[in-house]
Amino acid sequence: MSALQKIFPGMYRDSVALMRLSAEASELPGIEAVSAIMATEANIALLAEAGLLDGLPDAGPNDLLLVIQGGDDAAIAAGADFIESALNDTPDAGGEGGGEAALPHSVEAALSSQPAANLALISCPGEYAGAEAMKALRLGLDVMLFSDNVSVADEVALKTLGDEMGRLVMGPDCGTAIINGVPLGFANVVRPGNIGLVAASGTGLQQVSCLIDDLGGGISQAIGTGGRDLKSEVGGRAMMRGLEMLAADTGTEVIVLISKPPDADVAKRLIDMAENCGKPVVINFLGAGGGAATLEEAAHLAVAAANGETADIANLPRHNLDADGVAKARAALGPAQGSIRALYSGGTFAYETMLILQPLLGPIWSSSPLDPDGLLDDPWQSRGHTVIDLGDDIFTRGRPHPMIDHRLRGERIVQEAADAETAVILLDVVLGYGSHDDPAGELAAAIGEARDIAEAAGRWVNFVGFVCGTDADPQNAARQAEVLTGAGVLLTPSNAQAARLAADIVGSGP
Amino acid sequence: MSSDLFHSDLSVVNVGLGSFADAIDGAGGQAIRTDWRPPAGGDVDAGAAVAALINDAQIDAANETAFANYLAAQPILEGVGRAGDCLPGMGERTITHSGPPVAWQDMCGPVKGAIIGAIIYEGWAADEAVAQALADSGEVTFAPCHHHNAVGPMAGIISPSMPVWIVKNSSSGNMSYCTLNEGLGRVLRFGAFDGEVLERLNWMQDVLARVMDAALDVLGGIDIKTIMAQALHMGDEVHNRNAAATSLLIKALIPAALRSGLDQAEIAAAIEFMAGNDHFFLNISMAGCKSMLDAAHGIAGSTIVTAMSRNGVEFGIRVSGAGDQWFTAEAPVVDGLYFPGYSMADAAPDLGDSAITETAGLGGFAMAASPAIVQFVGGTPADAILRSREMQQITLGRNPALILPALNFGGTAAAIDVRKVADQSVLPIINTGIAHKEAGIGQIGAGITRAPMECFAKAVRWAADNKAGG
Amino acid sequence: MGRARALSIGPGIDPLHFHGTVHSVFGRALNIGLDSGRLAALVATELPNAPATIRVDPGGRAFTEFAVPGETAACRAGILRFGGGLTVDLRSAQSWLAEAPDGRPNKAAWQSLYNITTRTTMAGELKQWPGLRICLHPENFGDMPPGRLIATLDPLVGLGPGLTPAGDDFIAGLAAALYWSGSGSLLAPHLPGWAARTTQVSRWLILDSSAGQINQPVCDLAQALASDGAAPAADAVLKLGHLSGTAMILGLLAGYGFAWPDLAADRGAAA
Repeated sequence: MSALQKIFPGMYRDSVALMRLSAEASELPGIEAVSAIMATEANIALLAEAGLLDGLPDAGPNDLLLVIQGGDDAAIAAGADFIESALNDTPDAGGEGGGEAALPHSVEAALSSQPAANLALISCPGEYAGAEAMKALRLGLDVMLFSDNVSVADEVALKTLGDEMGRLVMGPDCGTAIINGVPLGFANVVRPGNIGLVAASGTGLQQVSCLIDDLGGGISQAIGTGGRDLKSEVGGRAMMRGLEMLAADTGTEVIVLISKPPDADVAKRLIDMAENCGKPVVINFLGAGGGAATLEEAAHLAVAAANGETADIANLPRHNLDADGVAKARAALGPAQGSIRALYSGGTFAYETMLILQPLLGPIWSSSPLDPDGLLDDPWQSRGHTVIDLGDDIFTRGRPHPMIDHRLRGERIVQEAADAETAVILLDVVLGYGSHDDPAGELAAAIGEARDIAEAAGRWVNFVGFVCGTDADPQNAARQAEVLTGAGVLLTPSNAQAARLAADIVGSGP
Repeated sequence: MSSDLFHSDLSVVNVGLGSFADAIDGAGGQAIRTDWRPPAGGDVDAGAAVAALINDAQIDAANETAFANYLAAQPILEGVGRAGDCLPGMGERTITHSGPPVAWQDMCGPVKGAIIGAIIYEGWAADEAVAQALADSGEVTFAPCHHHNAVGPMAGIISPSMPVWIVKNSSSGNMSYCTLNEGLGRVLRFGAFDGEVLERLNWMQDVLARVMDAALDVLGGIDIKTIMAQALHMGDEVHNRNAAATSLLIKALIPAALRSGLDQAEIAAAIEFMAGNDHFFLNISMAGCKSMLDAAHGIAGSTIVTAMSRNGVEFGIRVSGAGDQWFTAEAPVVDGLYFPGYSMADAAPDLGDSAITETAGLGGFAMAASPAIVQFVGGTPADAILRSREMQQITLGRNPALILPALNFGGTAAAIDVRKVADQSVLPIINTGIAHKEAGIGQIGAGITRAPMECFAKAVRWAADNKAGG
Repeated sequence: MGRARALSIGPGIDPLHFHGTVHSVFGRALNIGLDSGRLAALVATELPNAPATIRVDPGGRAFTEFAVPGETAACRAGILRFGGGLTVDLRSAQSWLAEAPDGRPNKAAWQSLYNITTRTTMAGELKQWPGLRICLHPENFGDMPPGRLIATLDPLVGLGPGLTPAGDDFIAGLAAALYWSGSGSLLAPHLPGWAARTTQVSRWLILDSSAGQINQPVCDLAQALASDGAAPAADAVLKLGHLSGTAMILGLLAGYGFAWPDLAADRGAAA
């Protein structure tokens, strides 16, 4: 075996681009391992752990480090060439020059060349992201801070300054927003309308906006607050500002607030503000109060309010499979098969499902359980009913998010199918900008492999899922649904319905 | 006061994942892409310091003042004088050197050699051994030239008896000084100190200085900026390419020297000396640049760089609002083009006060005026233009008196702001000669190098700590 | 190209954050059409403070070098940047607001100003416009009931020559006087309609004046009228625009005359 280590000083590329490139290069003949990373301490440690480093390379965080291991020198050379030409094939390769239209290197430089800029979307590595957001704010821009691993202190400083300056700070860890009809981050293409959303959960925002679209309603603005906004230390500042902006917005007639349970003082403040804002506000705090208990209910209530009607949420369908269908799914199972294995790419869906399943089935195991008793000893190994958020840090270290890269979930699907206990595998399929080009195709392949394994052991495994998306999304929800149905997945319109269907199949329901 | 975000067209600056910009464009919004890399070379604390300094009205106002002073400067070459009489605070046992402060025992080979030579030249010691002992003893005071209103190329050694150019900024009155250029080959500034070197130094002190001073007296002074501006139109960048400026200088001095009434033979010798050295103007250029930048120095709160300088061990910068403080880092060894038989292994780390020219917007910043320079890094003339443009990203503005024809007759980028350097991780570019690491061998190559990021990281941390209002 | 620092800003603009497009450019001033619908003016130092006006030192350059019509102009955190490269620093600019005069005009001063203004050549030019003739007789506004005042002013909207039609300038002067005399509410119901009927520049002139926000020279003149002493210097206002200043003074006189009919009584020589 041969190895190559090469440093590109001063060359910076973002982590997702590098991971994709490494993945492509690893498919080349004769290549055993490839990793192209920015030589930060953390990344170097990762490479060392993986056995890819020979000593400590003389490279710093602004240098690109490439390591290749392969069968022979020729294969390695080919791999290195492939990577190098891809790295140099950009409009402004490296930091040394570029063409007439060299790209700006900072927010300030960008603003000088485009004075009308009014929002900064920041998705650089977390250790730098807080500072970038601060600069953008000081320069008078509104901010969407996609990056996570930004400290609470930084978040509070940003939102305090934002309030002083009259600017909006979305995030940190804000994955989704739709402003003036423009999708920011991971967002779906939804019908424009008069319902405004403010959400501390990206996938929660995505689900509610898509369901509203499904029900014939439309979105005026969708503001993300970041996952930590509703903790006491941050005080719900971004959600309050978002609520204020939507209350004043002539294009918004109904407002929806979405979050996992806020800290009590923050929840109270928000509910008071909502009651006094002058427009109908639908609140879904995922089990901690508010008129909507699920994301699905929130969408129904909102659309009804927008139409000047009331929604009969008490009588929403349990799910979309009739009694025969449920019986058939149950009958296909062997006596040992009794467990639900829910594998999510969206953390809010995982949370909502646990809320729904726990009263029906008892304690649910998870890497981020509702009760500490439910904590899995090993997150890589399911037991009983298990609900996993594959977007959690444990699983994404050194990897792209599961909404972008389906390999890890594919492997876990196969692993669950090989487990004799598994009765139902529950999946979310999230579409929209930022997500994989063809999640259904990726999943169908894994599902196929899983079925083969189960069949070889004489078992049938049920797959239940839902598509979070619209037909207008780049992936086209209708086509994605076709592929999934073709792979034998039982599709429901929402996560809540999928969870209830899974529960019915393992025999808890009526 | 509420955000008017919903009432305007969305125009998004995208920092990070490029796919987000594609999505915005695809959905009919406007995305402004950036080529972002971690600020301050990846130093998280320095990056956070920069964030606190962006769009600070007081810093910006101080910088405008510093910049205005720099632009208004009119350095006039008035004459030649004795260093010990001219340089303020120059005691009779003081020797100044280039770059930030450095202790005798830590100095690099060429600088030590040049100091030995100066000690002998001054007559404080008869030979190398005694000179060495004297330097070891601590009886000689060593200080940066910059601390005494002066600059010097390479080792930059100035001792009391040496003749220095006298430059006065006629706008604000500040004075600057620099030694006269010895020429190429075995010279003191590379650490040589044999008989030939000392003889030349003595001749310069006796004859050259006198002829120059007399000629300048007849002329009533020479406007340095005018020569620089003309030279930029003629292929010079007045740091590593000085041939045109030197010719213009000689053109002005000859008639004046002839009218000075001095001995013809001496005048002839002086003129021949100048004519034989294409870099004769460099030292005047350096004093002129120091003159412009000293006018910009000392403005409270300003983050403008007023000196970049190296002593063969450390690279240091000075910042207008930071007084006498130096922000230093290890001086890099330059990866350039080496003369036959030499390589990077032979090179002294970067050395000399001559980066004062870049600090003033000349030298590497004016590379567009002198495309031949890029041959040092295997580039094309187009690269020279790109480098000059690139420097516009880290400077406050441009100097309309120093025009680069290749940039559509625009002024050269000037007034480096440490915030912009750190924020964008774009470093000032310097054209430089490379000295052999052993004293006395001389120049072994030339190249293009960058000022080290660590200096700017330290400077922004200082600026954030000292921000008015905290 | 280049950088400039603003000295003062009038009301009607958020000095931290706005966006618009350059509307028109002259030698000593340029206008920006803001997204909010207002026009903001950028003017040279020697021009007076006024609502929605930013005074800036052009450093010897003509404003035609600064920007061209159609260019973006956006202010972020107090720094105004133009698409062509000019930046104007608004952060340390003084906030200017029109101040109401200390009291009502004294009779001698009113009559002196009346005599000066009605005898100018500009006044003569205004007389050439039949519809504007009423403006030349501020003394006749003293015995008008409110209804007739409105009926008199209505046809003046958008009438007459100038970038700001002289009729609008007259109304502006009158509206300021009414506001300062405490009768501003009289015009309030009619202002939206009048504003909608005239040019973009005049629209805001009328609306601002009706809230007492009018250019500094007119404020100075009103203050001079209220002080002791007989002959207030009208030059600064008379040289505004071509006919604008004259029309504004006539409106001011008319408005004060309406509020205090005694001002026009016992005049000496007729106009």
